[in-house]
Amino acid sequence: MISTTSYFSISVPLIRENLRRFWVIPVFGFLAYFFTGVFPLLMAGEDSYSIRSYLQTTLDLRNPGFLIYACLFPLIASAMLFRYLHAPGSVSVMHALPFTRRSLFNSHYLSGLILAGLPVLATGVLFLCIGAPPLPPEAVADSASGYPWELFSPLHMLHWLGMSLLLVIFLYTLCVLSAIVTGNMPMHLICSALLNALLPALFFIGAAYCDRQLFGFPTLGLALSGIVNLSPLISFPVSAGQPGAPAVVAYILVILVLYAVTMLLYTKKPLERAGDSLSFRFMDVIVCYFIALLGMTALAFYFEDAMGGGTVSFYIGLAVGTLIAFFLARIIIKRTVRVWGRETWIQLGAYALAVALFLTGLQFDLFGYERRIPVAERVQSFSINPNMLSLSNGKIVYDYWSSAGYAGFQDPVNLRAIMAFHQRITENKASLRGADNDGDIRTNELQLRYTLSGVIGTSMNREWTLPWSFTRGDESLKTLVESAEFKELNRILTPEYPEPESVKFSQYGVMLDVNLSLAERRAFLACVEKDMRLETYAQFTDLANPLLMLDITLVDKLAGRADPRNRYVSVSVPRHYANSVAWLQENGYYEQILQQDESISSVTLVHYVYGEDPYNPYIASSTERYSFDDPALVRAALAQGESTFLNYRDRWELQFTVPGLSDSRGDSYYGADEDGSYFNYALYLNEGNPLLAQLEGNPLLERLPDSQ
Amino acid sequence: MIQVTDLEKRFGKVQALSSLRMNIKKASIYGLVGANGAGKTTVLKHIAGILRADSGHVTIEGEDVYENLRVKERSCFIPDDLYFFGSYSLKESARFYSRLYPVWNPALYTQMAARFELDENRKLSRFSKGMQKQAAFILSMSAAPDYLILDEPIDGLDPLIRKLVWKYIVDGVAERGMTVLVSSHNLREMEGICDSIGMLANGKMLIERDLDELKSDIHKVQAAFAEDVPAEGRYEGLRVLHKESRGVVDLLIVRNPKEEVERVIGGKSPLIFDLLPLSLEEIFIYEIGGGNHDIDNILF
Amino acid sequence: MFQLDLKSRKSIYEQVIDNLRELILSGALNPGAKLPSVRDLSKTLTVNPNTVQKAYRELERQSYVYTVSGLGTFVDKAESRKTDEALKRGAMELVRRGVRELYYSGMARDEILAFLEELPDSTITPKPAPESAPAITPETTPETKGGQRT
Repeated sequence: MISTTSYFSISVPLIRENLRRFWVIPVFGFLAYFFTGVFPLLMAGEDSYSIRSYLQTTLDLRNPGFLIYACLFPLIASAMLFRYLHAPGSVSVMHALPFTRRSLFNSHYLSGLILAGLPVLATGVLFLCIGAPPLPPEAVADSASGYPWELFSPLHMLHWLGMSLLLVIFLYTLCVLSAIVTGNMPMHLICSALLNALLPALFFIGAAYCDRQLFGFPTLGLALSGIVNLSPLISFPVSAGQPGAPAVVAYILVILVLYAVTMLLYTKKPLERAGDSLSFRFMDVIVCYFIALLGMTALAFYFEDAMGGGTVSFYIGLAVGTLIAFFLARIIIKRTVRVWGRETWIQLGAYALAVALFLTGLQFDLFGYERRIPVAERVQSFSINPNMLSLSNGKIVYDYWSSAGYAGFQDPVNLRAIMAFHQRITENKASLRGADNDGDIRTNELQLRYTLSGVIGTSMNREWTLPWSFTRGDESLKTLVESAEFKELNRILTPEYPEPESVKFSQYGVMLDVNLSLAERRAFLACVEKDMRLETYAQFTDLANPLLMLDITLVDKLAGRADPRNRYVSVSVPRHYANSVAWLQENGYYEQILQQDESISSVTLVHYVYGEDPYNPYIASSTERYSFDDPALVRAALAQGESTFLNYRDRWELQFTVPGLSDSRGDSYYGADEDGSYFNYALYLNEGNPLLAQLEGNPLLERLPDSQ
Repeated sequence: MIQVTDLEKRFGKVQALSSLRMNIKKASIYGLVGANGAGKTTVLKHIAGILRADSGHVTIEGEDVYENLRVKERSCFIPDDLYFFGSYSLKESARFYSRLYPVWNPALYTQMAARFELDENRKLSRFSKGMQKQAAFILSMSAAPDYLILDEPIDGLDPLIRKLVWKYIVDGVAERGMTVLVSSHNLREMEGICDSIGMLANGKMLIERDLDELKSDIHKVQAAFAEDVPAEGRYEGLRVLHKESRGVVDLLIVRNPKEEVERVIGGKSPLIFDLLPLSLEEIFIYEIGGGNHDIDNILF
Repeated sequence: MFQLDLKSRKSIYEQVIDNLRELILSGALNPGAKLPSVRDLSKTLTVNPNTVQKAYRELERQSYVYTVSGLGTFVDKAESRKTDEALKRGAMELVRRGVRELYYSGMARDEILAFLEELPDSTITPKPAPESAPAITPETTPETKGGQRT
């Protein structure tokens, strides 16, 4: 009895008493886990898809109830065990008893772990005892999807148990830290909730500033991948309990570090501050700074947004937000309105200085972020987003259900090419910056992700919005697009989806009445793929109106699966795809396609110019309208018209009506012209299009009255 | 013995204790007195091992108290505001204590519970404050501590219970040589039980003496002389702290032992000569109060 | 054994000494009689054992009692007792005051002297007092300037 108090620094009697006092917690915990987890499993007498699916969700650490319990029971345990710290009387009595602070802390910590962990352990044991529900044969195949073990095998359940315990220990440790640094119950609860959200919140805030200032900072992509691993509460459900070994190791390290830090803080905790919100003086500063950070960021971005996006309004918001939030925080912490003292000003000054340094660093890229290009030797592979390279001209095999980018470029030639392009971007960043704000110039977004060798810093992510003109003629991109690697990645038929179940033709948004047999589909697609392989970069970036669009349905190779997954892609067939055109002609489909073209009898040409009227920037200040119906000219327009405009504010638009699209469909894609007349398809003539010269002053054009 | 040397403690901007020295002899009953806010509870918390000194030493039998299990196992602290585990009864608390302390006297526990007439199966939270104090006392005494530290132990207890408490304390001191450190405002009762007194003022130890020595040092005198005894030099040789004349009669407070006073004044054949020691309460008022307006409370 | 007056100005220590001395002088405790141990007496009176200890030591110093280690404290022979000068002085003062009070009450000097002469022997050597039960509760006695014993 006495010896255990001094060896190992824990007190067994205390742990016993804690367990005796709070046996209710694991009982309720177990009941909760039981009725939301084990009970449904017991009820699954015969195979039922929903039960299996539910169990799988649970074992993937995605059961929302379980996640709530993982937050709730550790919190309750920590609150109950460390409640004595909240009142001067209880604090005195506990610390007068024969314990060292260390053994007191260890004993309570361990007690809470047991209390919060027992339900999980019991549930895991029950899972193992009950075993897997009966599985139909096709369900077994599911286990190939992402697990290194069989679905519902004991290993799978043990994995759940291990990860759940890790999660509970992690969250419990955070709650205990919060119990030690705060001095009363409400603060403890708030602090526990906040600590879990702290890292992601800081991350978001930092990302917000970087996104605003740094050219190339990837928001969405980075947020999704970076934030996820910051807390197991997020990463476990997202990754089905498999966030990767480095993440797991990191979490364990964090637990150990937090434990050690918390124990140290406990030994230093000033007991006379029991009942105060915060136990440590340094906490006052941290909390103030955090609140100031939140307030400052909120107001800065809000002001900028509400006052029209100027830098001045941003800085005004920064200043105002800082002052208000900081003083408010001081008032709350000091519990008095009189916070004008020296201490407040010094802290505010330090904070303002830090913020100023940070923002200056961002503004002038002192951290080198914008200029940085990865070291060539370290680049292993990279990925880019598909829509980077096409502007709705359909040259990218567009998969409707998958937004995954092209991953895994490894060819050294391509690596050099993309890095050269990256270099060119950084060299021209002054002129490229802000392109995303100019809504009038056609841009597209490049999401570039490098995978680098080494232990840390194994990925570099960048996102830029670049004007189309910048990417169109780039030599590096040419190398990339014409490379074998790219051609291989940009294919219609893949090993997983080799079978085209259906191929539909559409033109100007109208589905053509064409039915191809399986043999025909295979043959035609073979031609299309051949053409795609032969295509040059210039052709690839050509915006010319395609001959037709293909909507292709591909079937999952693993036939007979209970829920087969199809893949839906769309591809365009431009007029320069010689093999495809030849096949269409040979098989008699070409005329049908041309018919559509022929059915268009007249075309309206409109020249929109904006911006000359400062009071109405979004209404064209001048519009020239022409119409022509000369067949040759119409054919030329349809063939050479471009599928998208490059400059909104000064554009030539070819508008025409497609007989196949009925007028009752009043909300056709291109909507109404500004003078109220309808058209349902448009092509464009961008600067440099030879047709523009042809149409200039052409007598076959009939001038229409300007719209007012 | 308990020894406090040059103890300094600061809470934020307030210096609670400064250069504090205390010596508590073994098997003595030491009374710690002082005005509210003088720092009594703070000192007790240091000796109980709850607080850590900014500088200085707090030792029991030569060993530092803070974080010292060996020492803490032999001492019990009963604070002014009590705390028990939530729903525990006296019995359950006793079971916990019995596992915590190396020495536990179950016979004493049973006897005390009976004597104090406490229902040991009832939740302690249901007890009145006075009964909770008694319960805390029973638990502490049953652990047979060598050092018992009490903060306002008899505050709120009825006279019968108070007597019982002192009885057990005296028992412990007499039987086992238990050392007791008591802080209280009830100076009359302290006077009857303590052998040493420490007076705390503003975080410093003002006076620390054996109680009897303390009382033998200072007396109040009422004297009157025949007209032929000159007024000057009547009290020469005495340390007169305060003198007041009400007509013929002089009222004085002198810091001299009884014999000296009798020798000096008695030797001058006074008509009236009354010599009384001050009570502890009066000494306290004089030493701690320190203003002339307090003298009226002391003099007749 | 005897009662203490907790409201008295006299310290417990003095009261214990006085009470014990009275018991010894009156013959209630004869030479050779064993005094209660420090422990027992302190418990009986609910008084600090150190105080009792100090009282016993003082009584030993004045040769009223002697201590045999391991056995206890015993009453000493009458002859060994030293004169307590302080006690004598105090008693003389009391007599002085008592005489003065007699004078104030109206007795003439001769009357007072006659009274003193006529004091029976029993006043000087009192018979043993009847044993009083040891009581725990203090009795309230009217406070006088000189203090009182029960």
